[in-house]
Amino acid sequence: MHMYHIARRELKMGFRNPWSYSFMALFTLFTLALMVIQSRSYLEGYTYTTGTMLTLVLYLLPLMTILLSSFSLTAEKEEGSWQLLSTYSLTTTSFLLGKYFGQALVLIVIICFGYGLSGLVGIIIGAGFTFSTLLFLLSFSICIILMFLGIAMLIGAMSKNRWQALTLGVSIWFFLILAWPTLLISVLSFVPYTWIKPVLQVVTLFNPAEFVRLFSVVWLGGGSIFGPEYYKWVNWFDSPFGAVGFVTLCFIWISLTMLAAIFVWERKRSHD
Amino acid sequence: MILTSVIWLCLWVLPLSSHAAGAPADLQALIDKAAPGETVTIPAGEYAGPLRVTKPITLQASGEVIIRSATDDPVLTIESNNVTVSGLQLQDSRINNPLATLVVHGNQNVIEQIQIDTMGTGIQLLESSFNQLRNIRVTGHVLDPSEVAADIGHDHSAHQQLTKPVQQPGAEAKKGNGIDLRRSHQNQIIGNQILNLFDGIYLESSQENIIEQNQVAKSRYGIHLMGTSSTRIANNIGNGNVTGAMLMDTSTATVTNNRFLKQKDNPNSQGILLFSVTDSVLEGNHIEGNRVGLYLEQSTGNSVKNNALTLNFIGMQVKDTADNQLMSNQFVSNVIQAQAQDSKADSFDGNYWDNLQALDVNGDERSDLSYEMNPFFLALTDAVPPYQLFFQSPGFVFLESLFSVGGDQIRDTAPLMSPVIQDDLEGQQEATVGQTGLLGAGLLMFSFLFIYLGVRRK
Amino acid sequence: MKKWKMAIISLFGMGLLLMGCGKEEAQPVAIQEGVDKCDVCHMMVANDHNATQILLNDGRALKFDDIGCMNEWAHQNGVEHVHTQFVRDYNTDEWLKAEDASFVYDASFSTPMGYGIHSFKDKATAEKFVQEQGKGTLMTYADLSNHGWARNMTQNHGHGDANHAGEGQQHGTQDSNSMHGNTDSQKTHN
Repeated sequence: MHMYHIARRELKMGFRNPWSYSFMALFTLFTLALMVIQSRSYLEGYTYTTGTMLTLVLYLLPLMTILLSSFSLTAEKEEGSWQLLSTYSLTTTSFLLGKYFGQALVLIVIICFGYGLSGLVGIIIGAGFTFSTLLFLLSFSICIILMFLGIAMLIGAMSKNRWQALTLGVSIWFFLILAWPTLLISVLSFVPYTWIKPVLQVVTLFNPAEFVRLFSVVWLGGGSIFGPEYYKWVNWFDSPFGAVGFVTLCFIWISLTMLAAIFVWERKRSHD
Repeated sequence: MILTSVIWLCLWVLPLSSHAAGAPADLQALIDKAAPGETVTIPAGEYAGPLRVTKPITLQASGEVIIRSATDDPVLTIESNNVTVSGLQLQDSRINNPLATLVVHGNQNVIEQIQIDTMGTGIQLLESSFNQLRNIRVTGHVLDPSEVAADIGHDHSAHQQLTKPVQQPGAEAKKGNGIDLRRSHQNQIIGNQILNLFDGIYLESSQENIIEQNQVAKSRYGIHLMGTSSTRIANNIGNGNVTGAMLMDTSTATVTNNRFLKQKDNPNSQGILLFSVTDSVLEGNHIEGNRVGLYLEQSTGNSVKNNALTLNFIGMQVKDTADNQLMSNQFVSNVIQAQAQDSKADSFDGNYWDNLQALDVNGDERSDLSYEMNPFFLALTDAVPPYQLFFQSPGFVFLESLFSVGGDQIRDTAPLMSPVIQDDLEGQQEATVGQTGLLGAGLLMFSFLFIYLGVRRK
Repeated sequence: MKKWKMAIISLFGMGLLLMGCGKEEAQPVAIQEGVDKCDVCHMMVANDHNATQILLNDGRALKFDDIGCMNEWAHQNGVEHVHTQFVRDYNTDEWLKAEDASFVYDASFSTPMGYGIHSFKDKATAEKFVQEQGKGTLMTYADLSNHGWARNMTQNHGHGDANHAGEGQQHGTQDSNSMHGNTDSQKTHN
């Protein structure tokens, strides 16, 4: 019950937060721009447009999620509302889960606005997303949000204030999104050749942006582009088992990051 | 089509002893009796092979004539010149036999309207020239291992050792080629349909053959040239093969107005692959939805013009080439338009790239900003193939852009401002406009509802 | 932090596992038909007696569809990084070290790239094959380095190919040797 109240409170706070609206404006603007920019609308399957969309969503959404949600956690500390809440018989678990679901809803509403508007505008200008592409991008974005929310909660729990959260959040974003291939390529140049593929496969499981992207490309029918090395994985991803495996993996990821967040929060709570 | 294959399958299962039921006298005797120049009309019915034609006669079916393999010999062997065969259906259940269902060893023969169902190679031309193969349908009935049992699971093959023999000889049928030419010249292969074979049309050490209006699907290589010259490949369609057209060690080939679509499922697939090809012409081909549209390696002096490369994962890859000219091609909506590495003295000027931020200052319909083909991905994955996992990873795109500001990149210095070829790819999405609108409206409503719930004060 | 610990632990675990494997003698890697392509000519490698492979010192396996392609690779890249070259027995498809195998060449033997060389596990089976075919030159691994690596499927196929019809239909094509010369020199410049 506490969890539900926290989630509702989060929703209210989320939509009274000007940051949410600025992110909403940014996201909407960028989806619209992307849709209008292309001269023709080749949007089915894995094409330039869907490829670019994936890349841009992967640049923007993780950062947006990490910043909005970790700030919302640190705000609780900074503004003293957590001190107030913790006087009630509120467990850390229900508090953080409530925050998680509330934030998830806020973020999903933001992207729904963006995609919804572009869907409609696309029809008006006569060149837009097709139904399946829109649905695909929506699911992809929701997936990214849910994964990075876990990380955001952990960052929020670890940071004392917004500035700490900002520093930590941006560095994690930079590490997972921008620097990832560069770092891996340089590190893997020191390991024997036969290690490269297994290590790559394992570390990919630790980067939600990468495995969600890989699954999405396979889902779009582009799995063969990753070459013969990953042929079996691609086939497996493409099968019903793959979908189940993917959902399980996402679930494990969210659970692990949330558990870590709860653990950190709990420890800080006992220190107070 | 489906119906006939169902019927055919039923017949297949029936014991072979029933084949001669109701068939008239020995067909081979009929053929042997005919004088050169004569026409032998085969009455409708089912016959047992093998048949051998050794003199210039015309073999014609009246109604449905089915000839089945009964021995280890080809169903039909032509060892003569000036033979005409038309209207037959050949059904071959021999497996792993080096000889095809229909073997031609002679010149100036005409083979048309034949339907071949085979477990191996459909038609073989051995040192045979000036033949015509028209409107033949070859269907292969060997299933891929993956079609039988999709192997699911772990891929740590690198250290898997081979303990047991991988192959029981004779047990597993291997696919053969649809139409197979060896040291055969100036033949015409026109209007044939080939489905589910190894190489659809395979030419080896053969010259001046004409391959037109054929369709190859679900095979390994649609059209495969090995050591040929002056081959003409025009108006063919390759769909869903590993590679649409594979040209190797070939010179002076002409590849025009073909369509290569959806060669994308295999991790090594491409629309057209040129390896060690010289002085050939690729013009007006439509290469759409492949893994790699056009791949060129170790090829020189070729002209690639007016081709449309659309919606491929990688439009074009060029490696180790020299003195080729690529112009007026159209690169539209490929995930990566082109990558080039070690290309020397090739000219890439004057193509259309739909994602180029083009700028035409002097109004010559050419962009003054050039289009660069980044070699980084190609070079990296060539050295370490597992890095293909980074294809279009956001961080890799970022890394690539850091490397693109370099000096001696391969580039199109005068890209076209507007597309040259009009294509007909639109239309498919009209149907979903209503749904998209509904979804868009639904999403908007959903967000408004929650924003309202959020900001509302009790 | 948790994931980092896990990542590090799993990396170490993986490393130990792989090191364990590394101690064994190099084993040929299985050919995955329909997945593996030749590292020289890009054709798919069939899982049959024509397949060959090179294991590099760093453990990378390069697969080839024809022994000639393997030779071509070694020619271009040198052999200092090569750990083992594997070929397959013509009859049983079992992997053999190239040094231990016997070879039979004849221009008329059909191999994917037309190099016309078959490999055998011992001299006896190779000799038997020559007898059965009534043609073919027996070679050892050492002989291969002096072999001309001629191919039986170049554009002007005429040379020394006695039994082919339509001699008269050969029309002037450009000299394939000059073309090969070009690509070769191009290669060495890289």
